[in-house]
Amino acid sequence: MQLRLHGILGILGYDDEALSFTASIADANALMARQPFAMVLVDVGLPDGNGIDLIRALHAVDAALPILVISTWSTEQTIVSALQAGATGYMLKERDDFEIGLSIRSVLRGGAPIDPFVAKHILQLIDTGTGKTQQHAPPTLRSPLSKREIEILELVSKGLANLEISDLLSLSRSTVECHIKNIYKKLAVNSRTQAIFEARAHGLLP
Amino acid sequence: MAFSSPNGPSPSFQRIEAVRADWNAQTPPATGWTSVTLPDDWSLRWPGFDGVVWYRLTWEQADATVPVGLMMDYLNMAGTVSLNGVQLNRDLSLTEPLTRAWNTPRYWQAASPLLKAGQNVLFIRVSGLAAYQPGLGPVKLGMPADISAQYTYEYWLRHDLQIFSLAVSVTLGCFFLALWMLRRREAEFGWFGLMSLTWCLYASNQIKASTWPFGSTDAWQAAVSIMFLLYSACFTMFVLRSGQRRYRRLEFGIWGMVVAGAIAMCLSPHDRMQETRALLALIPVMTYIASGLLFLYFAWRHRGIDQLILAACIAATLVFCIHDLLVFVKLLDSNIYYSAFASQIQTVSMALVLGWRFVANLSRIERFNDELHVTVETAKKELAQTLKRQHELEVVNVRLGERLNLAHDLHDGLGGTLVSSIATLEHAPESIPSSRFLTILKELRDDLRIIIDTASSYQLAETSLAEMLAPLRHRLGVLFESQNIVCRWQLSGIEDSHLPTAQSLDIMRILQEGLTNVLKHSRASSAHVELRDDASELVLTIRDNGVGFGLPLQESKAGTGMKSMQLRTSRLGGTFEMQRIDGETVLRIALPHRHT
Repeated sequence: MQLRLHGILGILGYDDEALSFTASIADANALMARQPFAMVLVDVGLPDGNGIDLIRALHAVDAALPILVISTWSTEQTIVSALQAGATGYMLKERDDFEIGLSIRSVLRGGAPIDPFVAKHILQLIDTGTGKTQQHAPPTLRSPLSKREIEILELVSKGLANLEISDLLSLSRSTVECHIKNIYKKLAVNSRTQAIFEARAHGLLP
Repeated sequence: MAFSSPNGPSPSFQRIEAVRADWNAQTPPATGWTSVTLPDDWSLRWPGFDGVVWYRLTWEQADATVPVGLMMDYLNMAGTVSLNGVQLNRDLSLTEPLTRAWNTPRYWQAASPLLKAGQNVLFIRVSGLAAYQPGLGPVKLGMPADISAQYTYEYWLRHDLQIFSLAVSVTLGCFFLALWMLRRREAEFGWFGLMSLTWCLYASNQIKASTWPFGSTDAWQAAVSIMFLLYSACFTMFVLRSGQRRYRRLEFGIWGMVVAGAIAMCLSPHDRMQETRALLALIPVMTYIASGLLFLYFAWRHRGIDQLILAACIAATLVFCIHDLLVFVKLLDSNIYYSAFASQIQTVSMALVLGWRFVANLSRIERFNDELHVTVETAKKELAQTLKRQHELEVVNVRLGERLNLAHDLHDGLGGTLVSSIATLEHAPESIPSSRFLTILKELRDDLRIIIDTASSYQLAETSLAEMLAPLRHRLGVLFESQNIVCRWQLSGIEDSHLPTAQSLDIMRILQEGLTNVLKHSRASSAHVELRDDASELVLTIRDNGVGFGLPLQESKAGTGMKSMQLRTSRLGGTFEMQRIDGETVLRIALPHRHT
């Protein structure tokens, strides 16, 4: 995988000096402590621990850091968890190099990659999520996604690509990408706030 | 019975005499008077005498200005009363059919000038029949206040009370008969009702003043006796039924006796009436007492509260019955029959019995309701559990089904390509360019990818073609976007297309192949995908404004892809067309629907 990424990023225009690879979370943490980075790609199948925890830690340190999750198609739950933890986007190993390159480029551009099955999963999450928040009714919890965002998610789950969505909703492509990025952000915030609320409710936090 | 007056000794009769006469005698005879005591039954003195007997009662009245009260308890059967030659009373019919005045007390207050100072004579002319205890009852003389009080009492006893008990019996009888008619199962109610009604008819003798509807005293008395027979038989039946017993032969015997007795009564000649009546009274009474005792025995055995109440009542009835029997056979000096009182007691006890039974039934119903409720709750819980288990099993089943589906998909989608690729390689020439090898592997990967895309959008319900298409469409859309190719999708009618998975996979493979060709080889700037499903066929059209295919297909880079598309189309039973129209490359695949 490392070689592959090396190749892809090379095509994108990064030279070797700009790239750092680690093989374990411990190494990664050590590396992060030494120097700042413009983007991080995390494989959630890391041997010595939960990649998602790493993502959460990285996001806590620097909220603006783009984090990309490397995953396989069968772990959509992992992808969404990673997004909730603060990842900016994801890529699937099964895809073509070309497609992976597209994902990375879109993240660098400021957008976010998305797939129909991820969109469906998020929609399901919101359905159950709103149910839950209504049950607990905490006043400080942020509202779920806006109507526009839900609309976009539904169109993605039907198979439309960003261009088609932007045509259909009379928005620009970058606006659509921005929306998707916001959706991910809200997911992360939502989950964090929810976690804090839950922790408070259970007396784990003051 | 005589009340002693508080104001000195009351006047009393000095002489009471009687003499026989014939039916048409209007004046008392001069001779033949004998002294008698009251109450008098002349059949003891003159047996077999049917006719008229004059009674003469005389007393000394010192002071005629003081009015006196005269009371006659009864005369048997009908007659006239006159004081000092003035007629005080005359019953309606003094010859057959005689007026029945045997239970009617009478009272007069005599004052001057009716009352004379000195000797006063009271003549009572009685018409009677020897068989029926003819004669005169006690006659009292005294202060009007006392005598009048006694008369009121006698009247109440002989008349009012009887009417009251008759009314009660009629009511009870009708009520229980109605109850029985509505609920044939409760035979004892029916018998009790019948018993009450026959008792009514029998006891009407006590107050009836004429022999209607019969023409003679004999006929009437016969009817009364038969009625008593019936009453006793009904009572026996009632006892048996209430004890839940059926003695076929005994019952048959009893009813046979009733019929025999009735016939005997009807056929009995006048001079045998007394004996027949006595027989027909004794035998039923015996059975009546026997039945009563049987009932007491049943009640003692079962100790049901209702039965005990009835038993008490019946015991009382038995006592009265024995008393009346003794009166009837003249062992007791009275002509008051106490059986009427029994009916009062019977009412109360039957009412109590019914009430008790009603309440017991209500309690039973309530308990039954509770039991039913509990049973229903238990059944509901069991049902819920069973349903839940069933549901869980179904869910497990569905999941297994899904897994099976996936296995099938892999087999159908990937397996075919894998096998054919292996075959190709096995039979291929020695040196295969690695690019060819790579293509094969990529083909396999594409198949796998489609299966994966499809599987990840699986839901419990059937997925339509439109839903299956979504991931593929998205991925291709992203690719088109990156190449700046405008791709328009036009889908109609496929939201409701539910094809077998193998066919769906083939269609998607064709779609992917065709669009990949457009992406890689056509150098087009716009593409159009149309997928239309109507009742007869599914049509897939891919149009692009690229360079198209000029060279022989097999040698072009798109050759293997095209072959694969053609193969799959023919596998689906459809037609494959590739044309160049108006500067556009048009790929058209039509798949007719196979009717299941």
